[in-house]
Amino acid sequence: MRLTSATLRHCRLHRELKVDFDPSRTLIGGPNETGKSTLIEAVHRALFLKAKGNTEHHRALVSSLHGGHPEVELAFEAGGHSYLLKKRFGTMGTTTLAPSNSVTLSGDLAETELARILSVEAGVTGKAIAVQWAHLWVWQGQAGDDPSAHATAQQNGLLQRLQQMGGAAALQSQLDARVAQHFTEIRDQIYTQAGKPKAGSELERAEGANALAREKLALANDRVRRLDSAATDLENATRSLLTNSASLADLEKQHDETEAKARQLAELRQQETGQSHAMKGAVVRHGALESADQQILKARVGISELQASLKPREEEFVRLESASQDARGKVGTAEMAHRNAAQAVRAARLRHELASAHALQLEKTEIHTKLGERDRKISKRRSDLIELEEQFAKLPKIDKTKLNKIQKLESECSNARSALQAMATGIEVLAANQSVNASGQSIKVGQLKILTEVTEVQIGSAIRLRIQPGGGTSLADARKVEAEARDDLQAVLDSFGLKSVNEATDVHAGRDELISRVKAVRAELEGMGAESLAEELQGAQNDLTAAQANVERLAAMTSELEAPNDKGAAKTLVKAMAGKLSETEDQETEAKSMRDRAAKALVSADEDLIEKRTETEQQRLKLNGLNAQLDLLIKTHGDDAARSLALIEGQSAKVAAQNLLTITTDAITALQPELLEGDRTRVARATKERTGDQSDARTNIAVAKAALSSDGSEDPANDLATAEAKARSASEHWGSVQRRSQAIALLHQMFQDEQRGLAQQFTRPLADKISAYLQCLFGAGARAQVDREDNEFTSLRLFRPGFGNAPFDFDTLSGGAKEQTAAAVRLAMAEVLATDHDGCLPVVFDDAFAYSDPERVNQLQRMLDLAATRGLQVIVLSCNPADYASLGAKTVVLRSERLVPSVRIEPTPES
Amino acid sequence: MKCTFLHSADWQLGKPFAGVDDGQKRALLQNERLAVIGRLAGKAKEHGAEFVVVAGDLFDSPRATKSTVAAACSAIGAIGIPVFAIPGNHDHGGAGSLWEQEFFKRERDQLAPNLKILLTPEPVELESAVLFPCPLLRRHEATDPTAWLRSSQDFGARFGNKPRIVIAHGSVLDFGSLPDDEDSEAGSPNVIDLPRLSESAFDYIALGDWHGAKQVGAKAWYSGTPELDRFVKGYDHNPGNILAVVASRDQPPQVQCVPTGAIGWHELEFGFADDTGLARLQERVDEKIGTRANQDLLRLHLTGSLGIEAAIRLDEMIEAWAARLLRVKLHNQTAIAPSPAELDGLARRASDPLVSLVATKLVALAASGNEQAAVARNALRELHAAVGKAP
Repeated sequence: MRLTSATLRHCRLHRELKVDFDPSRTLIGGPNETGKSTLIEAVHRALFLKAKGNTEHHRALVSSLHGGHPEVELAFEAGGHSYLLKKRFGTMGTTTLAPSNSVTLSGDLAETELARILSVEAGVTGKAIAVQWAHLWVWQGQAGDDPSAHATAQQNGLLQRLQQMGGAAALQSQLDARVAQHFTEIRDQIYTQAGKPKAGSELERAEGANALAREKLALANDRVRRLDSAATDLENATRSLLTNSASLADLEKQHDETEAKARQLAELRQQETGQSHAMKGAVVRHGALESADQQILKARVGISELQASLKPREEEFVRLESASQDARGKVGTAEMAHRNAAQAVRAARLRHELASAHALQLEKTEIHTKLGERDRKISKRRSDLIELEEQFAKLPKIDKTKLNKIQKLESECSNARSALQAMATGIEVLAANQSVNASGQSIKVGQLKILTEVTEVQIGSAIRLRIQPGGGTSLADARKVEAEARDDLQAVLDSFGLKSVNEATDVHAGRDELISRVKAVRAELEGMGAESLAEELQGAQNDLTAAQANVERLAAMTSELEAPNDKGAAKTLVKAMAGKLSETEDQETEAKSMRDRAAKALVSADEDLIEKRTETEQQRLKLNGLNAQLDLLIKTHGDDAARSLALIEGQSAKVAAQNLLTITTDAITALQPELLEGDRTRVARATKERTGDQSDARTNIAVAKAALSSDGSEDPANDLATAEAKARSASEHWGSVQRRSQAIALLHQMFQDEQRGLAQQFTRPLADKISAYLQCLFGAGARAQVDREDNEFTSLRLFRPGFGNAPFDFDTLSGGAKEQTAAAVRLAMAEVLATDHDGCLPVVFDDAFAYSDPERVNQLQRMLDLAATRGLQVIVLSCNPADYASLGAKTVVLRSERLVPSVRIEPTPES
Repeated sequence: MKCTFLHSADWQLGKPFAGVDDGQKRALLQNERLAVIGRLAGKAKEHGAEFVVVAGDLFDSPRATKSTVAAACSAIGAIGIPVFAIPGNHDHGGAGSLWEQEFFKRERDQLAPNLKILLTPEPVELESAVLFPCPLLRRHEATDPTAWLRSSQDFGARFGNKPRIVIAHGSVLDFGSLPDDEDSEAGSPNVIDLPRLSESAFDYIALGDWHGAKQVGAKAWYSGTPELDRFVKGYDHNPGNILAVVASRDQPPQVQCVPTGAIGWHELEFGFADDTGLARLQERVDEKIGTRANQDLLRLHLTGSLGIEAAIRLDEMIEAWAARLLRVKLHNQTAIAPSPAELDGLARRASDPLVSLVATKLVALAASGNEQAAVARNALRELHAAVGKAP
């Protein structure tokens, strides 16, 4: 089947578009939105969409620009004939199919015939439309889909074709299939999917029976072992019983011997106790005698020693008594000397004090005299002051303020006068031939007349002039002011009784001088202490009186001492008396020290004396005691001769008792009492142990006998033999079943493998074709393998050079490699399927290599060219037709219909 | 003084024959061991025997069941003359043994008062002879059970001119015992130091344990079992007999071997050169069994190789023998090598490529000799059957 041309009318943006297809290679180019996809979609719908209808597919073709129902005219070749197919889509759609060799068909007949020609199911509707020939039509955006789905979708056609292509020779026969199935079924009866024996299968039963037989064998074995063990136990226990009986007999003998020894030992011990007692008595008695003798001896020695030591002590006592008397005499003498020295010190101290009192009296007298003189001076200055104050009182009381006031008044008076004078008008007659009178007074030539008030000047008779100095009334005011000022001044002067301002000034000066002088006298008085003088004078008087009284008191207490006349003599006397006093004080200190030493020596001598007296008395008491003790001892224990005899007798008794005891002790030692007790314990313990063993042995015998006792109902040995035989048989059976099961599994596996091998052989033409296309893309080593099972494609496996022998997963490929690989598979499938379509099918790639890089696009062109060479009609749509320049395809470039209403068909490179 | 008696041993009454799957056949074998006692009774009369000596292993197990004991005592009672038996390794004495069990004593007292079990190694003086029993008191005696006969006791000075008969059970120094049955490994370790027994002190040594009749010393004999109980081969075996003995003091004993066995225990080894071997094997088996049924056992060792069909026919033959015989114990190491015709039928089926391919690979695998070969042989048979069955 081969497309020849397509004409579109009123399809989306196409008003009318006609495209002629090359029989092998057509490249349809054009920028975006020039209607490439619309073209290829319209061709697809013409082939597969029933014209009559209003589905989304129908509506999708409608043009919003041009109006009218979408129409497609498709010219194609199929089955050695050419056809012209016309479809007008819509609810009232029409179809006509005009074959070159027959009458034109229309309507459903045309649709049915078309489906037959295309080998598709007639009357397909809905979504199924879009997937018709989906393996040949690579829609934009679907280029990278996994092509396996297409292989599965087309498998009936593909399988038919593959069978025709020579795979038939390798197909399994019916018998093959039945036998393979047979083994699969048996295998499935025996094994689970995981390869384990299936529940209920013979293998599982044999395995179970084997396990059970082994279990029973183990039980039977155990039973026999237990019986054997019981027999051994019985034997051992019987032997133990015998051994223990012998041991117990021996132990009983040992026990008897030990007990006899124990009894003997008890008797000896009793004997030993008595003898020991007796010996101790003898020892005590002898010891008492010895002790008394020793005591007597000791008392005698003690008395002798005491007597010897008492004599020097008594002599020493006498000496110490004498020493004590001497010390006492020395203490009296020292005491007397000290008292005399103390008396001398007292006398010296009084004289020293008297001398000091004299000195003080002189000092006080002098102070008192000085104070009297000062008093007289102060009295003189006080009368001076009174005189000055009287002078001051006589002067008018012109102080600085008042003087200033007077001076100010004087100044004001002077100022008023000056002002009056300034206002006055002077009239001087320089020359006159007539009289000049002023206020009646004439003024002569050369005379200056000062006018201070309105004055009529008459010159001659005829002439009378009124002169107004100062302009009029002000002259009078000035005169008034001047008069008031003068009056004020005079009044003030008068109030002080002064004649003039100068006098006031003098008076003020005289007052200032007097004030100065009074201040000087007062300062002098203050400097002389006038204020405190009376108190000081009284104090000095008192001190003097006290000093005199002291002199008198001391003079009465001491011997005559000539009173000094002045302070120098007094000072000398005080110094002399102080020297005397110091001297006598030293003597008193010395005397006191001597007295203290004598007293201490007396105390020491008395202590020695007392100590010695006590010691001597104690010695004497001790001596008395010893004498009494000696007397008592001799009285109690007899005299020396009697005691000697008693000692000899006591010693003999002691030796005799000791000998008896030694014999007994030796006998006890010979019996080894420490071991004997051990023996008793040991024999008792051993007897207990052996008795226990005996009891255990009896118990064991009873237990073993019970275990071994049989009522004859069963024979464990034979049961064991039977169990062994059964285990062997079960094992053999299991082995046999296993071998058969393994054989079945092997057969199943081998049939599976061989079937797979056959399937691969069957699909090899398809695989080879895919491989050829893949090699255009990925190089010489690329290949494909198509797996088939149960007459279905199960997987498509692809191998690439440099990726090892393992197939790779389509999903792991990059976007570009996916669309290229998918294209290879589509081309191979198309090639296989094309044999049903005159060896040709159109394969449409609508922008199918969007992700491929330029280099790979070059290789793609090799692949596409190979497909075309092998008879396929390759139609490539691309917005970059230049990329496919080396494909050598007929190129159709679509342009925007609004700009270029017609289509320009460019010559193919070949043409 | 002379004395005539029967020497027997290894009756092993109650032997389970567990290897025989069929219960009825098992019972036949077990009953035959009792039946031989009846035959022995007849021989005793025939030879004028004064008593019977059983040198150990009267029972197969030290804990024989009541029914076995009852049947045994009944049969022994029927002998009519005294039967002196010692415990052997199978029915050893000692603590808790069968001989001490009440039910045994009861059955013996009631059914076989003529049966004397000699449990003590001490002389038993009879009217015409003195017995020197060497009982085994445990399964494996570490010491020589006849050691007591070498003691300082001066047997020579006692018992006048009565012939002295030693009864013992075990192997002699240069002659080992057999396993207890064909599937066990070692035999009894109880060893009798025969040369150390005084030549002059004893006049006959009745031995048990070895299952064939055999003289092992000037005066020492194994009687063997009166009825064989296992497959044996080699060692110049002579099973299924009793010995009729005439013993006298200081005279060599007169011993006569009297056959008593009824069951045939056959051993056959056969190698297949080709499929025609089947017919020859049939002939060989027929020679041994004839037309008898339920009286024979056969141990069959098969080697060589057969075609698939022939192998199937062999299975059918074996099945038939197994039905007829008491037991067929099979060691089949026959390889399956398809015949040319079979090969054509499987591996050269042009029309059935799968079967052909699988069969070809299986044949190669079956011939490979590796561990998969046995599985492959089985697989070939299965395949052959499956293809044969297929319409």
